[in-house]
Amino acid sequence: MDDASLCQLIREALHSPQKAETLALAIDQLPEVNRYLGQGWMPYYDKALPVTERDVKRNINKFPQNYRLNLETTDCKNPSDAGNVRKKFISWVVMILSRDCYDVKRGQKNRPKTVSLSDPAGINQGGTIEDTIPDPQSLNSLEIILAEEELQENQEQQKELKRLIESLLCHPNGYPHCTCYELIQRRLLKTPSQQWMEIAIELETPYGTVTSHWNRKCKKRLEEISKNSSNK
Amino acid sequence: MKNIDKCELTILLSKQAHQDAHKFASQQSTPEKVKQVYTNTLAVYAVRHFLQWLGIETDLSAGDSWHPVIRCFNDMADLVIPDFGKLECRPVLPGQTAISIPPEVTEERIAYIAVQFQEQLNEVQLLGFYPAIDPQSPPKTIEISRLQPIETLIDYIDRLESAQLFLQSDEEVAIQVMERLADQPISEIATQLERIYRTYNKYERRYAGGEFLASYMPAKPDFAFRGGAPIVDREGSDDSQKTELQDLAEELLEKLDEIWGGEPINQPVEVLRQWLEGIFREDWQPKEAVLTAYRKSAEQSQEVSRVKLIELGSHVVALLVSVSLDSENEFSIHLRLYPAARAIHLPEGIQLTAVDDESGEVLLQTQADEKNDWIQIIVEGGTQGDRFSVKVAFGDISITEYFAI
Repeated sequence: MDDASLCQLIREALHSPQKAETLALAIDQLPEVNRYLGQGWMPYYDKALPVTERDVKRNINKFPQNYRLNLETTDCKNPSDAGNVRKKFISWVVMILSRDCYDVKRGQKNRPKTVSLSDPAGINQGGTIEDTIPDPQSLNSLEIILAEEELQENQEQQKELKRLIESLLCHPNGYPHCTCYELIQRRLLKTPSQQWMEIAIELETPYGTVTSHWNRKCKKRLEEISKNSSNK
Repeated sequence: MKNIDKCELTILLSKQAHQDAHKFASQQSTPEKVKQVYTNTLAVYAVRHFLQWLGIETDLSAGDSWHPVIRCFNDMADLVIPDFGKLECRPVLPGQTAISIPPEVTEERIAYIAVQFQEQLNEVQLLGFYPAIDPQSPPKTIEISRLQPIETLIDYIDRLESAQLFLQSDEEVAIQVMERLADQPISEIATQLERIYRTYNKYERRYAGGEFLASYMPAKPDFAFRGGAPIVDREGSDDSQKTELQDLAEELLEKLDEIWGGEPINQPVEVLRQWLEGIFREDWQPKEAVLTAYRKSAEQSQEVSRVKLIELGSHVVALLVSVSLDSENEFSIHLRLYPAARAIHLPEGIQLTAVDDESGEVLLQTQADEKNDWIQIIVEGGTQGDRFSVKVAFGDISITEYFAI
């Protein structure tokens, strides 16, 4: 199918379930789909394809939104516009087909609850659709979210935190130099921060011992003192 | 050429995402840090949403970017996939052409996802991903043009999953590796093995793999540092141990080669005969656009040229590739390396090497001396289907480009 015909079919599919079905069934005939699909997915292709076809048919109206396309104004007779629509449609289909092959491969029973790509990120955390639309916020306004006094207050709190950190002297058995205080200094307060491998060698402590002490003990202790200092 | 085109995938952001971003940003002490934490939080939300759509579970609260103290001091936007690894979600602000890789995110990351922000914060675009880097010589930035399409992230995740499964299996080579690297998270071992497999040709993998295994062996007391990278006393270690580790790495990478089906994933391969038909990938630009010396001169010959900017640590160089058809079946390829980013000379010692991908044999190699303006190698007599790679190396850092005729 040439670019112009595919572009036109996609446009029509947005308004017609029959055309959406025709489009879905045409996926298998698009040479790029097979070419771009990872070879590792081929054993799962036959089982995944009907699922993908169903998904494309049902969600074709979400395709333009996912790729910021305005198909109502797209001129499918213009080779550049039609080529652009085809490129994005192929990407979209290959992405869905890869996901469906992945599902077939691992067995659908393990699949966690999924979301629609067109829903806002974070929507499943509760609330209605209306509740999920954020207030207008711009990038430039981020730096003035906090007033000078609030920044000052946070600075004071961080100073207090740094003071409290000095008391975090717990360490893994047999490695007295590898204290939480030492790790915090090297990971958080030093600029640039040190890598774990470097710290492990300098403190003569196995890599796994350093990182597990950090993850199991230090992070928790840090969280506790942060809570305490902000409650003051 | 089996590369899906890169497209930007739009993700809308919810009120919930903004509320968390605002909450985390409100704990910061400078305006810059407020902006950084806000955008980092939104980037994590966007990537998490994409993974949810893929059916991959994540744990927001397990990430350091959700830790009230760590996010105050580190520039982190990590997202944890439980029992699998961490993704780093890097914001790209308007006008930026690369993602930054601060030192705190160079380890324990399976991939870096670029998240494009616009002035309005109601949506972002996922630009693509970059697979794991070498933590011992990490780049400071990754150019957007070097990213893999976000649509193929699942291929990469599946590949790492299969490596992790193999390492947990009762295969002899897997048991031996896991015994030696008992201290390491399995995700890190799988990720770094995949990186070695992806970035080295099959003849170099044995040595790179051996080095990797050695670097994670318990360090001897007389360890040394070179350029900030931890070097286990390799000079002192006996040759038999080195050979043993190389044998083990070779066997392991051969097994993974069987599992992964023989080809590095998404490794862009430039098909040079297509250049003669005017078909180029977007990261190869016209030479006039990159190299000032060519801006005034018109194309003189029948050859077709394209340039790619290559970042090697703090140095940027331009690789100019010119392809021409010499006779009915024979092509010649000129590979030239120029300084870029306002540099006048190439970094002294930078190497340009062409390797036959079938035999692993070094075809040609050259190295820049002090004050070289450019260096060049010429591959002649190439025929359709020939595959070769070109490695640009400076010190411990190298980038390999793959070509087919």
